[in-house]
Amino acid sequence: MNFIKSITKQIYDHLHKHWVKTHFQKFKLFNKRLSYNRMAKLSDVVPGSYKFSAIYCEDKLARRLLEMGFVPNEEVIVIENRGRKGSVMVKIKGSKIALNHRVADKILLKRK
Amino acid sequence: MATEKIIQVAIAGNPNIGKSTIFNALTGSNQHVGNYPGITVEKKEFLRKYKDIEINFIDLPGVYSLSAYSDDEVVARNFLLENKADVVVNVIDASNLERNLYLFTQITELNIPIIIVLNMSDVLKSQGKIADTKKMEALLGVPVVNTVANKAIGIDEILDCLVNYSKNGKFKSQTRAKVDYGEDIKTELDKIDAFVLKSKDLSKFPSCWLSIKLLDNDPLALNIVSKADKGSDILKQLKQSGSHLKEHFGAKLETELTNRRYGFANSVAKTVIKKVYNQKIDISEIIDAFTLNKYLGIPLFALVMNIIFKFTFLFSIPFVKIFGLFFNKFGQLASALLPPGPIKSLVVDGIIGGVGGVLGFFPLVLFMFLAIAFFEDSGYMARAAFVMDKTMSKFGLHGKSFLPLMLSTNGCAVPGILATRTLDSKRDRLITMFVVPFMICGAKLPVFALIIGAFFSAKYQTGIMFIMYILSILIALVVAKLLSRTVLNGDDSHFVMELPPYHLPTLRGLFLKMWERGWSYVRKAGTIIVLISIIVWFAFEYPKSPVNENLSQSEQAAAQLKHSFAGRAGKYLEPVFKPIGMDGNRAIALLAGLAAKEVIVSTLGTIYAIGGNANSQSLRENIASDKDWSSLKGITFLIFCLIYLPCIASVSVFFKETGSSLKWLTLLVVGGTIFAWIASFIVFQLGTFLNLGV
Repeated sequence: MNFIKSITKQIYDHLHKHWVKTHFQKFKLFNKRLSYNRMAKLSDVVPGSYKFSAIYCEDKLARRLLEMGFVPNEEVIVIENRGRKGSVMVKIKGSKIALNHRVADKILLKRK
Repeated sequence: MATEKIIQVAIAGNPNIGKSTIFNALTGSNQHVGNYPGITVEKKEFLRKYKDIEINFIDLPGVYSLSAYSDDEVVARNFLLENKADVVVNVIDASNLERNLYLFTQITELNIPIIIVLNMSDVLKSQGKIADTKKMEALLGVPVVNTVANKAIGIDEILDCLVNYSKNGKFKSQTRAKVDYGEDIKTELDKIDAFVLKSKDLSKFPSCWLSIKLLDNDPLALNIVSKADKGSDILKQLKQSGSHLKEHFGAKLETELTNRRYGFANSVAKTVIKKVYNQKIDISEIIDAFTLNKYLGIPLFALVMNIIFKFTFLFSIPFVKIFGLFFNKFGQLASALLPPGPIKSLVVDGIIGGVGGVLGFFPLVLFMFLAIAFFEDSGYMARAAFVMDKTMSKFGLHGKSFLPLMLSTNGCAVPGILATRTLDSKRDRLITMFVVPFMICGAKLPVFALIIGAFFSAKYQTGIMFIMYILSILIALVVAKLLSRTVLNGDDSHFVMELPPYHLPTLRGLFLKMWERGWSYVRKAGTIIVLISIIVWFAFEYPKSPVNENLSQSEQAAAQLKHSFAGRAGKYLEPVFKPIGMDGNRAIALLAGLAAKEVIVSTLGTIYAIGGNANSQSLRENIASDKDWSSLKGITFLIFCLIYLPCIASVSVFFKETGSSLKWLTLLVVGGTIFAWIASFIVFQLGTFLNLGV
């Protein structure tokens, strides 16, 4: 019985490690950055609650986002991040906004 | 106030908050709604009488703010600045007060009286919150009306409020709350203000608004000022103030101003909204869990597209048949009444045929608009665009481009091109409009069936047809990619889209939307299609061939075809068509196909002198036994058919929808034909070289 238990545990541990590895692979950059300067790109973040910091892009898009509610220190709730080249969904000022990767790459978030 | 005076009421608000529902409810039902097509956006206007006062309602496009970064915003803002509406009805979504009040902060700077309409108060209630309108009125200094537009609650209150206010002259004395930008910005604003007031040209603009916009680095405001007298003084002062403030805040001034505005909106929202009990489950979140799911998203999207497609064609077919029957009978009636001769031929074949061509599409277009309006108003379209964006952006298309392409496949390119109206960016729209005609539409289907049926045994027919479908999609995607890299090269479109909460659209709103769009299709495209079908009729009927008594009627028709302008053009064009394996006859058929693709089949029938109403079976045999045809030539013919000019209906709709731009029309006509020739040339010569199916 103990033998079976230990084997299942080993299998489980292996799978768990594998899952953790793959799951956090895409957020590795994020974790690294977050630990250095407490900031990360929206395209890298794990879903959760953050504060908006800045946006680096051309004037037109910057203004558009500004008016949609991306003002400094505003709370941004990241609902979903589809990782590499995928899109991001956030909740800001009470409404749900979808952004593609190209835009999300230009937005900088702070840890809350 | 005198009763004769018309009150101009502009309705402004964010997108997706039921602004048009309020407009429809305010303007009553069965009356004519005028359309004023602009370049890209349309503005609606409506005059109505209420309690002896005439009120003119103007529906402005839905915008988030009044800056100058999108066409919608420019239209809304120019209207408010120049036309001097007497009142602005600012529609606000009660369940999202902060974001909606942001627009209010900008309208209030324009010095126009405002009435706030708090829409969707039922949604707010279901979130367990209540808005205190009395407090809001006191805070903002403007009347606030509570409504639930899709249940028509509170519409009369808006009208009463408008009438009472105009009668008592309260609008003039209205003191509206404005955003307090703080001491630092205010002192600089006053400095700029002093200069602005000196300028004569600028006196028509509200000075306080202008100086804020100048500090806000607004391109249109800067443009106005640089043209005005004493503009250089203002710009000098602006530069000074700008650099001073930037130093002071250590950030971009635009950001700081937006921050202040949102701060104002936030504090108002906080004081007004009271939480009564905890929120119930949000249905939108539950639906989104499925529609936006990583794996379920795309299959669900395909399902919805299928529903739109099925709905459009299932319900419109009886109507299309009735219309066809009607025009058939009408044509018979006209031919019975009119004396034989050129006039009869013109009326029956040219005009009735042409009008029938336009109206034959009409039920199809209406049902498609109805189906699309439903998914648009319910809030699913934004999700569909989001789901498809990743795939479509690889080919330079937008997420929403999928719908037009889908409608065109097996359907019709005309509703497909019209459906591109759902796309916001002009570049995305153009690319999509270019590739929509490449799909195999319902009219191309008989041509494909005829040729494939003539040269391939039944075993391979479906396979070849399937390959043709794949080929059409491939061509469309490659052309889209090509266009987005060359002619329409621009910054890749940024996908930033609000996903509004789901709600059930009102039936009336849907039908109004359907009718508006459908009618504008008839008005815009109809005239051109009728004109061109008369030209096509003329080209095929004149000059008349000499009557030969020995020939049967069908042989006479064949002789007439060869004798006409179009027939002669076909003969002249033969050297051009030779390298792609086509003779003059097929060139004539292709020319006739410009009227409508299914005409290719009937023209081939006339050429082979089988009679006007060609039975496919005998025509098929005729083609198969003709020595000048071969399976390779058949395939080349089909490829040419697939790519070359779309039919006149699509071309004229394309022309109208691109804003009557000759540049794009030329690219479509010339580019399409050259591309078709090159593609068929390659296929034909490669096939001949490899000795395939000659």
